[in-house]
Amino acid sequence: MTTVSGTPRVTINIDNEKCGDPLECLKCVVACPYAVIGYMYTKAPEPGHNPEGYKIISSYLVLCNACMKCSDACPKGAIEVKLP
Amino acid sequence: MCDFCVRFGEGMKWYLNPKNFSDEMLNSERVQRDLTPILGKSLGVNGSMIDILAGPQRMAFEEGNGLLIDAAIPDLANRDVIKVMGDFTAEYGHGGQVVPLEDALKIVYLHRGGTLAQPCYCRKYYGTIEKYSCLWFYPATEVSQEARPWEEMKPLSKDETKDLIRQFDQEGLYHAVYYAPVPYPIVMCNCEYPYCIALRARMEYGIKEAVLKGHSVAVVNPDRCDGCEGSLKCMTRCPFGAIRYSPSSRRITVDPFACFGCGLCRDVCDRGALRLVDRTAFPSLKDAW
Repeated sequence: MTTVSGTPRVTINIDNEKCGDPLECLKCVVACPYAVIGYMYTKAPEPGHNPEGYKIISSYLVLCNACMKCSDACPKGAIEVKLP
Repeated sequence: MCDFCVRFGEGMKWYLNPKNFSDEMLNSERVQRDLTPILGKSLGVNGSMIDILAGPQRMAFEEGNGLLIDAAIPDLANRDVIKVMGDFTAEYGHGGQVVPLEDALKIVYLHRGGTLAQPCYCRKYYGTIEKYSCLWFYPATEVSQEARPWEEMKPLSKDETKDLIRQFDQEGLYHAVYYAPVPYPIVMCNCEYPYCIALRARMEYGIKEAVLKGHSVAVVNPDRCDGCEGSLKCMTRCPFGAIRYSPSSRRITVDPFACFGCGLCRDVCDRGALRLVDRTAFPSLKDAW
């Protein structure tokens, strides 16, 4: 038996292709009770320009208890929540 | 005295020393240091901390840190990694310290010109809530709107800024002054849990330098606190979980080690049972920032 060192945490995989343009939806961001799910631009634009696109992100995952509200809220099935 | 005050306070709190707001400090090597060699690879951002935060790279820095934090700290019990991240935050990066209402107003008074109210990143990008509670100081006031046209920002006079901070205090948002890097104050945040990414970096990952505790702690006058018939307004406002109620004595206590000295509890106590004292009133808190 191997011992895994470290703090176990949930993994949240987001399929950006399935998701499409998050700005049209953001249901997962609203649904997450711990503000673990967020969104950000795909790339920082040059000063004075708008971002070209956005993506859904997950961070601060020690707070995630796999309540599945994000994946339940996603109309496209783009979020996969995995227990450690 | 916190470490920042010892180094940059000249006998005062670091954020009340006018020298730290000056052109001299803003143009100093320390504040203008190019962070590209350090942050270019990990976060893909370039320039000084102020360049990064005032311009379009801000999101790449703020949310990029969140994206990296789980990989960077695989083991929450490993204090070495957490210390390295904390030291970096204080020396080169962007962190803050909780301040009570009166100090928040003094900082606005001391800084040049007004502020630029921007939608709080944490609440907007982790909760789709638009709250104009990030009050940015010079030089962000001059450049941010043009650099990030996709975010609407609101220029405020000093008086408007102070009124807004008082209003946030009433709402139950604690104030924190953030440097970039220490000791140049760049923004006054009016924050709440769980959205605040800096507070989560501290509370969940143990990076103290992300949000240091303030210079005060709240103490209760046991003769005045009567638990206000169970309504416990102070307790519901404490963002740090520092207030506890004793059913036997029917009054509250403030845990001095959990208290950040924001003063939100004091500002709502009808009986004047709570006040802020300098944290040195508890010798045990000497190093508890």
